[in-house]
Amino acid sequence: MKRVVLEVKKLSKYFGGIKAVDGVDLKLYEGEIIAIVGDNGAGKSTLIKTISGVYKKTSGQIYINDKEVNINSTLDSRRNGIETVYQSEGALDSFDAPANLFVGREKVLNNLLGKFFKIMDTRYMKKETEKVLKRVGIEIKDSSVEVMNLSGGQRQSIIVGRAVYWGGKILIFDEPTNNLGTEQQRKVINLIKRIRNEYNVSVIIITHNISHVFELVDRIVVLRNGAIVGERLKKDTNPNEIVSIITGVA
Amino acid sequence: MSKSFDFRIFWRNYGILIVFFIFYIFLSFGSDVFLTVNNQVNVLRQISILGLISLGVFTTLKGGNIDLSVGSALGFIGVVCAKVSLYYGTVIALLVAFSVALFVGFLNGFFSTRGKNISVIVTLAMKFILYSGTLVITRARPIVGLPKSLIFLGHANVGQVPMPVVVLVVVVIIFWIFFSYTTAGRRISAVGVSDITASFFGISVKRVRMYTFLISALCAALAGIIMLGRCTSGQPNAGLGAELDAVGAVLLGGTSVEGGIGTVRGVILGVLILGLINNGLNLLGVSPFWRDSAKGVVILFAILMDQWERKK
Repeated sequence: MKRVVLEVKKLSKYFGGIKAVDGVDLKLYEGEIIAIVGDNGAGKSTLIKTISGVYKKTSGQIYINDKEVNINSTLDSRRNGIETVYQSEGALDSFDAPANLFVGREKVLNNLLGKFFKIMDTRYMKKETEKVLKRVGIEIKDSSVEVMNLSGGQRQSIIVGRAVYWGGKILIFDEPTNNLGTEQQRKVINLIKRIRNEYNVSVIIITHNISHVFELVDRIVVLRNGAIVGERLKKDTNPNEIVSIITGVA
Repeated sequence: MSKSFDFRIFWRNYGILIVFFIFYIFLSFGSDVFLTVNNQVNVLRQISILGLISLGVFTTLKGGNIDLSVGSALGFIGVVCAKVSLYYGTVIALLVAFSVALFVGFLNGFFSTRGKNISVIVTLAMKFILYSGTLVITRARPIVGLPKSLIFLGHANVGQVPMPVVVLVVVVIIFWIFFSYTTAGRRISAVGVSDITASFFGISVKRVRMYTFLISALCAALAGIIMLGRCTSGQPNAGLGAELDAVGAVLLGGTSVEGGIGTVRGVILGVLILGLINNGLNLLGVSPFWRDSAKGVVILFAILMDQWERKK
């Protein structure tokens, strides 16, 4: 049996009287990709936002590597190796790839110039970026190109590369293939697979797209009205069953 | 790739440079005096104050805000400095000037970060307050009899080169290094491009924006002190309306009103072009009443080209 990297117990998030997430128990294993699916308003987004610290939980516990952690902000979750990959806000479009990878955590020169004037070590950042991008499987001819001039898939690779570069062990994707063309969707799916293989990270994705779910994930968790109503290993189920669990119509 | 797409990138990188050279060449042929060393130095001297406050406006725009108080701040800090120097001498006067600048910058930054996109109004209000403060201090009369050491920055020469030009060149180099090579400069751009993304990357958006206003106010202070030297007095109307020239120069230089985008090189070219317009119209004997029209047309042209560049 593989190691459990993330476990939530009886996790709840209420907004006033509305139980958006209600007593969810969930385990995520090392190197595993799971999908959280469900209808609009099922609580998928609230669940991952509670895990990643955007919302404060109402009750319940979160364990990382069998240790209980207190997650009250996105910084807390990142400190514990949880990286949420945002689509539109994930990259600064007029920055190039190295600037995006290092923004907020720029590497400064290893001398007095770096120490007193915070002069950046641009050469180091460029080299590291090229290494990371190679590892996540994209080649950009010139890494000083602004991100907005790259394709959606390449942009996504930079965002994901950033997450793993800074020690993300659990990656959360919220609708990673939304607003992308078919070919770019395929690239994002391959990217997530490759990241899992390269870095042995665990992945939670939220998506509406059942065919992507079956292509990508190991396990599927179905939410309805804030609670888990079904959980299947991919090999034991089929799209029709999942849809019927989502809708509650047998 | 289509041909027009290439031209767009070409224009984004070199457009402002081309406009500058067109003006330059045109004036070289249009006037006998233009290319003389005397006149060239003159142009540089005239733009030095505008250059300094433009760099301030540029910094706030880079961070996604705007500082419209720079003109009045220049005047106010100048006369405060002048007044203090009469009683306590140059050193104290300079210390007071920069402290007042930091306080003005702090107020601009504090109020501008209370809400989204309110810096226009906040700094406009500050502009009125500071101008009124200038009138109160001077009673609308020049402050004269300044110590020699105080007017040094605006009045002295280094060889052929006027001191204000030396100051501007030094400040430009500092800004260029700051925005190209330091973490702080990069974070200002990050906040300007997207404050949401920047905060997601762990950058304190409010703090960074506060710094941009402090920098802008310090630039205004430096400009105000130079202005004292150029006028050899504290003038009640110094810097009045200069913020609009500065905004014009900065936008002309390709800095985006949407924040984050723009270069120090562009700002300086924008300032130079406005300087050439002033100087050129003078040399060509055009009535000074036309001067602002010419600037307006050039700035409009710059904005339209900028929008055209962005269109995909």
